[in-house]
Amino acid sequence: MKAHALQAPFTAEAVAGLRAGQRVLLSGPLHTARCRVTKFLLDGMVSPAKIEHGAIYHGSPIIVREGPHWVVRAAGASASVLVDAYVPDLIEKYRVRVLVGTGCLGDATRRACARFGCVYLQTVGAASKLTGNIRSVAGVHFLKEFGAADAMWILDVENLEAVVGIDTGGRSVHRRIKAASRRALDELLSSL
Amino acid sequence: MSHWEKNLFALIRRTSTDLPADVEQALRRALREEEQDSHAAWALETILDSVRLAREKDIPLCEDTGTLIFYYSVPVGFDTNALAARTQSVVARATRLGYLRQNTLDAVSGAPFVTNVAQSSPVMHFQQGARKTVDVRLVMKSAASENEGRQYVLPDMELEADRSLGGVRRCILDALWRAQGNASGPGVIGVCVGGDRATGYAQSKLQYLRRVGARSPVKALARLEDQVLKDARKLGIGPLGLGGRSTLLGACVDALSRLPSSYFVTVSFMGWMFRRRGALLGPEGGVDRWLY
Repeated sequence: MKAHALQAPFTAEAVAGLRAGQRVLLSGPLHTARCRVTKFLLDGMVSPAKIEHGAIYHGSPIIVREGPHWVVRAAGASASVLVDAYVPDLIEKYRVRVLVGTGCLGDATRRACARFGCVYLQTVGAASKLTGNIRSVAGVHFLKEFGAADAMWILDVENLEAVVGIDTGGRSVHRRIKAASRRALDELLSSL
Repeated sequence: MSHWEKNLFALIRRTSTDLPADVEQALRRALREEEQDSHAAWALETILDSVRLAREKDIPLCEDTGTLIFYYSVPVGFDTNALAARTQSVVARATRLGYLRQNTLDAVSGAPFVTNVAQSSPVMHFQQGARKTVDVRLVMKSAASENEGRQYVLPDMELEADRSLGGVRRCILDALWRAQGNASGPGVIGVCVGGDRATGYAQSKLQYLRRVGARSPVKALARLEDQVLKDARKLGIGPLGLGGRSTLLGACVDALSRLPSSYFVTVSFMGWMFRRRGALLGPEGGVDRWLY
């Protein structure tokens, strides 16, 4: 399957051109934001990094300090469902254009993607492979407050492979699979 | 550093970076069953690539190094307090060196424990064994899979699940459907029939010491394991919920006794990054044999 390149800056047109189920190679800065950062950004605070029209990464790398440098040991994606409750508001407030994570996101997020022109890109979440796509660590915020796992890291990635899970038209791979698996489950249960 | 520290550290390092052969083989089998160029095949190829890279480059398989669960079986009269202290010290070292993520928070204040050593971290189970060696097994269980675990009380009218293995099967299917792609599948489910709310979960996780594909010695449970694996293929959830046949790599069902008034079914999930290793350590902490 041919992969579509998506590069920063993430324009509204480029993002709107993607369709659920397509394969993507993503390049540009990703801001890690899990529950604590996301909640903080929604509680009337101002993001220390510019995330408007940017990309949010549901990940939490293992990073160690070697002299003046941060060295990424492993940086896979975390299950996006962990932040699903906050994601629609984050998209609305910051007009985030790209979400990167793994697993499923729900209907409220799907609707926010359609309304504000955001896509959800699903990676496999395989840390050692994804680590190879990181060119550099461009910065970190909230390290002291939230610890390394929950801080906001800015990771510059190149050609990160993903599948479009939700597109700007509100189409969702998971919604389709969930409905199909429900039908399969009902069929199974009725045969028991 | 004593042999104990050296080899317990090696155990953490191997567990974090080197997927056991039985799990990797199960992933390869799963890939063979998926259609070429499908999302499922892409996901499994990426996973297998990642497994190889982690091993070659000595880096963690998953950024969530999870809850560290140590199962110790020690000889009679063995000092488990000293062993616990040694375990904590190697966990701190493995965290400093990036084999483990700083992954432990104070539940009330949210403050990080930067060494990963805190109350209930790492988790350590001790029991007395018949051997003269210390048998240690380590399972690293990530949050994504842990969050999808479920416990049912039968009968459950909504699921039409009665107090029978047929009812248990309905619970397992419900848990699989609810988890969709959020438990980092394809992985393995550990199931406990019976017990109470605490022992049910503990026993469901103990199943992760079994090799993938090893069937229960209890015939009825082995049959249930086979059935569930067949059912899971039909659900079509696939790797990470992207669709496909490989929703599960394995199903391990066990049973505990129960009270007449309770019938619990506990389902725990383990994702594809099924980190499990072990060793038999001699009286000075030297490795007699690596397990798995």
